[in-house]
This record gives sequence, structure tokens and C-alpha cells, in this order.
Amino acid sequence: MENIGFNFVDRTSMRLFYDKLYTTRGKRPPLKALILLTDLKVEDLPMILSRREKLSQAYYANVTALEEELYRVSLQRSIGLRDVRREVIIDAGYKGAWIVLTNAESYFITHVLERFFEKLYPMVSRLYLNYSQSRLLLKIIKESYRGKTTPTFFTIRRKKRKPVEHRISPAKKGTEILWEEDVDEEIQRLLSDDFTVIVDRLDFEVRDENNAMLLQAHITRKGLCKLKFGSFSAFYQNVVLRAIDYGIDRKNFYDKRERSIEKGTIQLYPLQIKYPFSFLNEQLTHFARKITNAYSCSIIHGGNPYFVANLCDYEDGSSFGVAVLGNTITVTPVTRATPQAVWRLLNKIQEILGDGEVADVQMR
Amino acid sequence: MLSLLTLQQECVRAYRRYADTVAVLSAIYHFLRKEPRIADYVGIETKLRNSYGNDIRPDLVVLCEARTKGLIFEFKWSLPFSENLLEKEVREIKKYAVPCSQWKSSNGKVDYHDVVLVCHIEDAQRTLATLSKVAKETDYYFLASDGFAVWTWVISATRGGERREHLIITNAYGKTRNITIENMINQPTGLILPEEVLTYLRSSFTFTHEKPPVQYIMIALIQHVFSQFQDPTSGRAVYEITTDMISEKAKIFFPAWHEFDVQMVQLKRRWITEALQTMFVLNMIGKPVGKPDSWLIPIPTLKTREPIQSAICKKLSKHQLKITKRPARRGRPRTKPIRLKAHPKMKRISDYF
Repeated sequence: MENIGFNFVDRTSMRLFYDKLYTTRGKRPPLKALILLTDLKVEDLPMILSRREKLSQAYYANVTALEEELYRVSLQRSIGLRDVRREVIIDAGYKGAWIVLTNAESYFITHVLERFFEKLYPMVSRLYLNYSQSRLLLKIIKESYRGKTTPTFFTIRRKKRKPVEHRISPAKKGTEILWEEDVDEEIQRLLSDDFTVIVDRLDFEVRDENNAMLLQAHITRKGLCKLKFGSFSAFYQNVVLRAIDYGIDRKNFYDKRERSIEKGTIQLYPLQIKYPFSFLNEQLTHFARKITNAYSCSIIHGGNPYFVANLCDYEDGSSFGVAVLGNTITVTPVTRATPQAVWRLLNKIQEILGDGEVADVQMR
Repeated sequence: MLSLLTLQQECVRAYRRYADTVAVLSAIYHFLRKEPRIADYVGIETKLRNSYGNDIRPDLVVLCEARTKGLIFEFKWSLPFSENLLEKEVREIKKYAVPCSQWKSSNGKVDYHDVVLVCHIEDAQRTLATLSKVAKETDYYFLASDGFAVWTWVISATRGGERREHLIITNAYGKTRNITIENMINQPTGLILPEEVLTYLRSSFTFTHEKPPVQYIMIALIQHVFSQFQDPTSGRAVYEITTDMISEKAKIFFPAWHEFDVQMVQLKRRWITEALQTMFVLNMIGKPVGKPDSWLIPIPTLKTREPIQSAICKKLSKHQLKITKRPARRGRPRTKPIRLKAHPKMKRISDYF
């Protein structure tokens, strides 16, 4: 499937084109806006790619400047014997972020676009949202639109915290769609039923006073926004840019957390993820296995159900102390804790153990 | 001879024990700092001079009662199983028990000071037996007097998570002359330290005064030091790094590093060099030709899907077994005489003449 449009030469023609396309009812692929947090220049993309030998063997990127901070990028990945190639638009006009726009099919998004930018970590960071952060972002979007925002549904992943052996049929797991009205209650019910809940996607719509549809969109937990119906300009302004603002705010929250020594005293800047339940041995065993696959991990206590480990991010070099005690996970950045590494680790932990509430810990 | 699995388990156990001892040091340090009614000053690896004229650096030095009384803490992550070696360790305590000067008080002196030895509960029984034996000697009478105590620590184990884990310190032997401390430690439950000592306060320090097992230093270097040299833009790469550069980056992990003298800097550098040499022997890092003080270090150094302590201990144990299994060579190496045999299809040289 080829991209629709892409004949525009500047921001104005792009907005006009997408505004027209997505405000008329009809069958077309949704517009995807992938939010990335980075200070890189888009022109440097081929150069960065060439410095990574493995990456350059699988991917190819060609950048064409359209206007100031707006680029057309041709991205190709060799998958098996075939090459998957599409064009995307990268808007780098917002300081500290890139917005990658495309209406290519999901296969390209999942297997080429997202993979490519994940490989560029830590130079390029994704925007990670958990359940409560998605709710907060939705509130911000609502205020921005000055309309009525209705989350239509949340897509969540759920799995049993403890395998039930005495049951003949295995406990239900997998994806579930929760409809808006009583989403909090539903999540509480799942938590009380010993499920781990991870919110994957939030679909929402915005209506005006007359109940006319203004926007139909969704945002994933990794900062991929999709526009299904509505004004592109409004979506860009009120969803994408608000999400970036929120993301930059979160990034600043995770910044400057390395262990430091001030006037001879050690200063730590830990973070906690709190849960409404205490962890069980089985969960911590699963956690240890999963986290060891992703990070350099030295486990000191493997779960009794007390878990302590030192982690090091292979790509970034940031190192952390992680402790799980009761219903709380404490992450203590040790050396070179970049904000993107802290954020990525917190997301990874929540992907394994379920969404919790991230909070700052004041060292007493 | 120990099996590979036993060696590996011992190696991991030593790694964990040292990490926990650092956590206990950090816990007591933070606990005393937050208790002004007990301590006016809490110093880590503070330098004192004992009456023999030697400089000593106990793990913790505490000043109480308007800095007129002192308290020295010595942490042992592991005590030897051999009775002779254990006795030697116990006798070493004397260097802390004799009068000391250079305290952080107005005149550099205290009225008296007490000594507390902190060890794991598994080592306590052996240590107490040796202590009682040594205390009978006149030079070591202080071991049986007030002012010397042995504290043990344990992380309370729970089943099924019915209650939370705690770090508990209990008095195993003797007593200090500080009533407030004695009242706290002699509670029936022992001294239960606050929850944060098991979470983020564990990351305060990485080393104690005592030399860690080599695997511990290797892991600390891989996770916290080498990663600081990593260039995130270029992916996995090999870096040429000198021992001095590594020591410089590693120094912040030693408590009181900013107060170290040349002797201490050299000592810690030796620990690092030993770990680097072990990594070189295990083929984890390389060495450039003609540069004795440089190393070729791939960063990330070890990518593995198992816990890094298991991977390193497996390598170390295999190497240890290889060394012990190697048969000892006796006398001149024998060379096997080479006997050439003609292939059946080959022609004899006489055929050509």
C-alpha cells in the first residue's frame, strides 16, 4: 500500500491536505503521529545510521528537506528477502521532539518505523505513558479542546498474578477492552481478582456542545497517536503538541537523578512505583527473568518476596538499584542516569508487573 | 575437589554476602545520622591513630555525648572457617580497642571508646567461640569487658509475604557502654531498621573498608564504571582505557574517597587492577601491545540473558577448576620421537636410481 498524499512541499499545504482528508467521512487509513523525544537533527539521520554497522545493514534512510525543520524521509528495512519502504514526514519544529507523520499500514509502523527509532535509543527516546498518565493526558486534551472528551475505550493487557493450578481451565489472560463508563471500577475489579493490568491504548473522541463529532483518535502507551476523524490542525495542536509538552515535562522530572556527593554527603534521587497489592514470589521470579533479558542485571535477593538487583542499561550505560518490597518498587539511579534511561526502565518494569503510580521519594 | 556447581554457588553467595554487608553498613550509618540523641558525629572510614602509632580506618566512627565518647564499628562480610585464620582475625580487633587519637572532637581525644564487630548471623557462632578462647589471654582481656560487642544482622525471611521483610540487628555478645544504644539493640525483636535501608539506601555505598571478593569488583566495574565510558551513539565498541582512568571513575564508589591518602588510593587501585587482570584471564577484556597499563574493554562488556553474577561466577569457577585439574609437570618435558612412515602408494627413493 502506498502512502496517501505526500505531494505537499510545506507545512501549510500539509495541513490543508490532511484537514481535508480527515474531515470527510470515508474509508482511509488513519494518520499516525509518532512522538519521539530527541535533540538530534533530522539531517544527521543518515550519518548516525552509518555509524551503527548492524543498523545500517538492515535500514536505509534518505532525508529531503521540505522547509525549515520539516523533512520527508524515505525509510527502508530489509525483512527477509524483501524490502519494505515508505515515506514519512518528520516535523522537528518543536524543540526537543520529532513528530513522525505517516498514514502507512500498521505492518510498516510496527516492523519498520517503531523498530528503527527504538534502535536509535538512547539518542531518540519514546514517550511512555502508564494508565494514570494516560488519564492525565486525556484531561489535558479535554481542557485544550474546550469540548466534551469521551474516552471510548481503553485497551488493556491483563494476566494472572499467580497461576491457579487447581483449576482445570487456565485463568483468562490477554487483551481486554474496557468501555469508558466504569473503567476505574473495572480495573479495580481486575486488580482484586489477582490480575496484572497494563493499559496499552486509549481511544477517545471529542464532541462539541451539540454532540457533533470533532475528533476520533487514540494514543498508545508508547506515544503513537492516530487520527481517525477530525481536523488535523486541531489534532496536531491539541493532542500531539499537548502530549509532547507532557512528555517533556515527564522527561524533566526524570532528569538529574544520578547519585551525587554534596558537601561530603551522598545524595540519592530515587523514584517509587506504588501498587495497590503486594508482590508474590511468582511475580518476582517472572520479573527477574524478564528484566534480566533486557538489562545487565546482578540479583542480590531474588524474591522472598524481597527483590534487590543492580541494573545497567546496555545501550545507554545508565545504572540503577532496583528494590521490590511489599507493594512498592524503588528505582535508585546510580551513575549516568539519563532521563530517557530512567523513563524506559520505569516503563519496562510496569510492562512486566503492571501499571502503578510513579512518585518521587524524598531522601529523609 | 569441589564441583563446578559448588564453586559457582560459593562465588554467588560471596557476592551477595558482600553486597548485603555494604547495605548493613549503609543502614547503620544512615540510622545513626538520623538519631542525634545517640550520635553527634558519624564518620565513614575516618582516619584515627592508635597508641601503637598506626593509622587505622574503621568502617564507622561515631562520637557520642558531646563528642566525649567514641564508638568504632568494624564490618566483616565473611569470617574464615579455619580456626587459626579466625583467631588471627579476632586478634586484629585489638588495633581498634587500644586508645586512639585524632578523633573529630575539640582536642582530638575521647574519654573512652567502644568497639562493635558486625558480622552475619551465620558467622556469629564460630566467632563467639573463638572470642571466648582468645579473651582468656591477658592481652585480649578487652574482649570480655564492657565496651566490646558483637552485633549480627539478618534480613527477616517471610513465607507467602504475610509480613514485610526487615533488616534486623541483634546483639550476639558483650555490650557497649552507651545506654541508649544498648536499650535499642537489646529489645526482644532486636533493632529493626527502617524500611528504606532495604530499598534506596542500599545504593549509598558500593564498598566497605574490607576487600571484596573479586567477582564483586568485576560486577561493580562492568555495571557502574565501564558504562561511564560508553559512547551511546556508536553502539557496542571496544575502548582503550587505562587503569588510572578506571580508578578515577571508580573512586566515588568508595566511602570517604575524598579523604583518602596516597596509601589508600594505591590500595583501592590494587583491588581494581586485580579485577581487571582476572577479566583479562577470563578473556572478557584485552590488552594492547606495548601498553602495560591500558586495557581494551568492550562496552557493554558482558551481554547475557542470565544474571551477571551467575555468568561471571560460572566463568570464574570454570577457570578455577581448569587450574586445579591441570597436572603438575615433573622433570624435563618429554618429546615424542617423530617416525616417518611411507605411504603405500609412495615410491621408494631407490626406484629413481
